[in-house]
Amino acid sequence: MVLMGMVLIAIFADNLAPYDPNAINAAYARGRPQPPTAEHWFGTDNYGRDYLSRALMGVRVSLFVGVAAVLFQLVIGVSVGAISGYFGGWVDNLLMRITDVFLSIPGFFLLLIVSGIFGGTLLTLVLLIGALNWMTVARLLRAEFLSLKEREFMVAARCIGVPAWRQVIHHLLPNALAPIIVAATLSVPYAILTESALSFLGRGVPPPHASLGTMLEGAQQWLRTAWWMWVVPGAIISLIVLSFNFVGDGLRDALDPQLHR
Amino acid sequence: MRKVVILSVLLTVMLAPLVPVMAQGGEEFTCPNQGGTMVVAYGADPRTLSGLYANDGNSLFVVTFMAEPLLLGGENWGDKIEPALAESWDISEDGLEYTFHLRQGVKWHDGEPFTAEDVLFTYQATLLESNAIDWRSNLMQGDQPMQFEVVDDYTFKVKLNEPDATVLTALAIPIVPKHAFSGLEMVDAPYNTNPIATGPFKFVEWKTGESITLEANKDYWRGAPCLDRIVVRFIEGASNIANAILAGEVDFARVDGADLTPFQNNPDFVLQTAPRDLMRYVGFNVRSPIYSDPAVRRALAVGLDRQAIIDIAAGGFGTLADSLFNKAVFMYEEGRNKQYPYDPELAKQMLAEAGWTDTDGDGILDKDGTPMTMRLVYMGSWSLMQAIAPVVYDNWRALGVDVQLTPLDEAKAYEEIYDNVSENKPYDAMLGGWGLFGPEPDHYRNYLASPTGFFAYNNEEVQALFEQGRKVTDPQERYELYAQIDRLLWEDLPMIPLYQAIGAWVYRSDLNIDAAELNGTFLTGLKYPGRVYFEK
Repeated sequence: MVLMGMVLIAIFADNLAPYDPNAINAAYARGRPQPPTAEHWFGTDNYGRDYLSRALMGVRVSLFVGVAAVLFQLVIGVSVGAISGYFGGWVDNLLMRITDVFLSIPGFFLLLIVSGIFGGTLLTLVLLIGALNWMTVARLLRAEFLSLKEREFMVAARCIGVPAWRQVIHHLLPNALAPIIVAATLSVPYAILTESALSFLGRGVPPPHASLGTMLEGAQQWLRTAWWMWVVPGAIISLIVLSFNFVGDGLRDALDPQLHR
Repeated sequence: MRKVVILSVLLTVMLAPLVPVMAQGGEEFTCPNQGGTMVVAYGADPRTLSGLYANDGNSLFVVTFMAEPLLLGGENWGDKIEPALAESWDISEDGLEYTFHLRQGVKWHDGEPFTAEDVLFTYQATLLESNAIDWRSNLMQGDQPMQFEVVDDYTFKVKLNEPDATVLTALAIPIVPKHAFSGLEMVDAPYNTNPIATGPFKFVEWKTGESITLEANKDYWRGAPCLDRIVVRFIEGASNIANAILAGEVDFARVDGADLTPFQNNPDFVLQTAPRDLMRYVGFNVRSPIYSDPAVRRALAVGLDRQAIIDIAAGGFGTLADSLFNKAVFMYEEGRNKQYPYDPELAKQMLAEAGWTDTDGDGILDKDGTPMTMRLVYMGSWSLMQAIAPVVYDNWRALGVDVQLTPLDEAKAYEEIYDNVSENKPYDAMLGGWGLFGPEPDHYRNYLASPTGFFAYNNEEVQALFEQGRKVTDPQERYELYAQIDRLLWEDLPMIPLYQAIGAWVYRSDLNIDAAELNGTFLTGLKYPGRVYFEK
């Protein structure tokens, strides 16, 4: 439920926000963040920008980055896993070794370095996060394929001469999807946290977009004096991550009852 | 009666020698307490430690503790012309010959004596084109270099081709020791990371990304420093520095821009402010098609709430600028230029008069089918620029300008802005800050009268006036000339000066900097860093 709410917020953020998240109200703030009042439910930051509006915008940006990164991650992961699992042999070996290489890279630090070189837009951020997190999906899918390949219906399909691509897309993939959906759902919070961490370090979402991570970064110098600056984005991130985790757990229970009883 | 007379005579005789010493501005100073390490904080690793190449904040901060020019008052060295390594100088009747009498008994950090040979070497190396030293143009008159002559170990002559009013400040660049170099080439010299100078502190070690350690120069000519060591820690961002001070990790630093409430009414710390010779500005690429129109630039100035920038980005520590020159210049006059008010409605009107209106209703102004876009670049790692950018973005977006904030990482920033000597700039506007130019307005020439400077500004009238300003020696005439330049630039606005910085320094209350003199026109904040001491 919460998740649905978040998604709706993300889509309609523009309409819901009472103020322009980038509108500076210098006269109101005079350089210091202002506490929550009736006019500004979440207070303002030190530029006088309404924090509620920025939070709404932040939900949209963070969800966008999280979901898009996972989708991109799925594209790579599913492709690699499918090819690897279906063909086996040296193709499988090669792709799995490549996957191992990617797994051995400390992803976050690589992201930090690379975002300094290529970063600068939301798109590159999405591509970067996606490009460094596809490995789990690939392995999962490959494992599923390997086990499904030897089932009777697949043997039958091969016997009657179904072409390879049809086998993969029409027979194997739909049956292998369950664990992938669960993995994807559980990856979104990881992507969101990665984006938040990068933005907190100043390497993520470019200005003037507000993301939950950039809001946290801005809250650093006001930790002692303006609690709402960090409580708001922190609470929202926690809420999103928790929601995704619950949904993911629920999905796992629903889709694979035999494995987890 | 006789006893009183004898006593007074004795006292006078005893005190008399102190008079010339005190008249020199207190050069004799005894440290009430000796010893200790002061930890200071500044942005990031220097690019160089050579006094001749240091021209960015991080490098200059460290170099200012170590190097010295012949006299103070030149670029980066305060706002008053005062003797340093040169004790005094004579100027010939025709203004073509300057004779400097160098201070005797000064030693380099490695013990070698400082002589006129070092001065000659410094200027010769600066003139060498392959060294690419920024100060080369200081020593040129048109395309003729100045002539230098070593008369004896402590007398140095400078011969000019024509009288030049800016000579003293032009010559005031740090002196480097001849014996520390294998030749005149210095671009890749080991000296640049392991310098030897004559100042109060000498270089000990550089931990990249972390800190630089300096040690007291016991033979310093103003007197041995009271402290044993100074450690410069690299911490970026005023709030991070403030937190470090509160945690006891840093003893003295400039913290304007951070939240200063923890330091106010706090007996453990002292908070002091002083004006700085630093200006923050929004510069335009005057050659860009949209922003070549001065009416547009003036409209954007009227549409920018500069006071908000002072309040938000500088925590209130700034004075609204009313000149493109910093206040330290000798011809600065408050009220000469009429201030641009903050009036967004008026700004929209001015833009409309210049032909910019929103004909297609998309919220962006356009003219003859061209939308008003602006690629606004700035150094992304400079937290001050990061703090200013959203205000500029919001104010000009509200007018209808499609501002694209483009923070650049350091390498890209140097490539596009700071090291870019072409007349074609890849940006429409840039955020920046500069200063430490001192009292001599001619130091602004490379920026305000040069087609290859940041603004690609090629105004012939201004350039001609700057040329004249060097040649004219009568102070009153110079004053009028530069006042005229000031007015012209304020009207033409190749850059919008935002505010002149006021520095807020915080230090632990057991540190005494009174004799060291807090001075915002020095990057370190201290005029005589050797006189800082810890109270026991």
